Amino acid sequence: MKTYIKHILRFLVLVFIQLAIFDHLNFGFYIHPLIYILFLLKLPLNTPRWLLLVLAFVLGTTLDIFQSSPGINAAASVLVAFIRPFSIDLIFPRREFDENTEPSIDDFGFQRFFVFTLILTFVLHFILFFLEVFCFDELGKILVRSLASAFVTTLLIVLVELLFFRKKS
Amino acid sequence: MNNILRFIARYHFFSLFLLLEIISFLLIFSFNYYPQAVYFKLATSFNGKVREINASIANFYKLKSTNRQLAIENSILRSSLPSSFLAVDTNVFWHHDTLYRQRYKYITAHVIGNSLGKRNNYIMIDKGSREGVGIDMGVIGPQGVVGIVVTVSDHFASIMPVLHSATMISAKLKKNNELTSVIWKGGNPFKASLINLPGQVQISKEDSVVTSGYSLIFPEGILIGTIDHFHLNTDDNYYDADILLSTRFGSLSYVYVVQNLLRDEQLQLLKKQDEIISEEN
Repeated sequence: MKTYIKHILRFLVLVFIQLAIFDHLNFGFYIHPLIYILFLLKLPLNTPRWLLLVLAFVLGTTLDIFQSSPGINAAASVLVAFIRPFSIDLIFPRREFDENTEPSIDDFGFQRFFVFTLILTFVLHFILFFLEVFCFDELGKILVRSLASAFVTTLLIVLVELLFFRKKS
Repeated sequence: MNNILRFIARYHFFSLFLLLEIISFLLIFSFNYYPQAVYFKLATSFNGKVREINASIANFYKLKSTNRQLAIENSILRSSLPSSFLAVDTNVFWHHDTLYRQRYKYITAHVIGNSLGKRNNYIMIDKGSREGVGIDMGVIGPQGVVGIVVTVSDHFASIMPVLHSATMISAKLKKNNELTSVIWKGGNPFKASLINLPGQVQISKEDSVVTSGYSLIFPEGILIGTIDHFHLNTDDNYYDADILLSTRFGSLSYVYVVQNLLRDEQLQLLKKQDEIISEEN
């Protein structure tokens, strides 16, 4: 029961931070960090895969309502939820840890956590920016934008991870 | 049927993924084409309140620059008052009621939601259909053109600013009235691009680009920006030109919605014109 409340709180806090802070920051014209995806990344490894998809859809739709961009965030975050299990398999061909751990620097190691985050944030940004424009003319620009944004989002997520999610040892 | 159900159960992860993506894409396609009309109405009343609170805080920090903008505009308006002109020719008589018919009405509105970093940005204002704001009305700010109203609810309206992929504003060069169009190619929120400007036209840096007044949306002669740099495209003999937008979208706080009082009449005329042309064919 406690874990449910923890995840619901995390959901609310991340959506609030995304809408109140990161949607208004202009780091430069190409960068638009989407920190809210941390909620999906931090779900426990034994979360049923269908639940991942449903939660991603709810998360995306919540953001869509506030950003008035119907379907865009939802489509992108559902895709991220879809590839999350595969990317974990890719990074860890053999599972070496307890199934109900959350992806974290402590359990994944810094490098692997970084790569894991970078892959998923890149997919999120690329799909999102692409759907926003919806034409192939600007593909190069979208690619640069999503690479830069994914990198910044990843840095922010690693920072949050280091500050708030380290186990006290 | 049984087989299909078994198939879905077996590949439930993939099926659910497809289902959710299809729902998302339906949302995108059904509401994004003409930006978000229905969807926006649902979200607006709730979203608007949140943004209003947000804007009231942000507004406090912008007071200084807003004051400056308004003071500058006041001085410009004051200088265009009849009292600030010297009557040179005493034979001119003024018949405001018969010779001049009011064509544009302005509604002041406060910006309560804004974005710059996206490819398709939107601005939300705190005036809606109850105050007379309607779809396809132009919006201008103290520094120049802002955008076009795309959706309205009772108390709020959403504006598609120049910083949007669907924006195309009919414009002309101030010095020689040459017609062109302004679009935004994304990225830099200070710059936009000119298209359809033939190479025969003489242009130079810092030429003013203003609205043409042909589009029924904006009055003629509202500043859009100044030409920043340009080069002649030798393939088709048209200019590739960038303009520096006169409106600073990041610090926008008060705008005017332009209501064209003769719009319906003009639209009717256009409709008649189309009918005649189609009859001739």
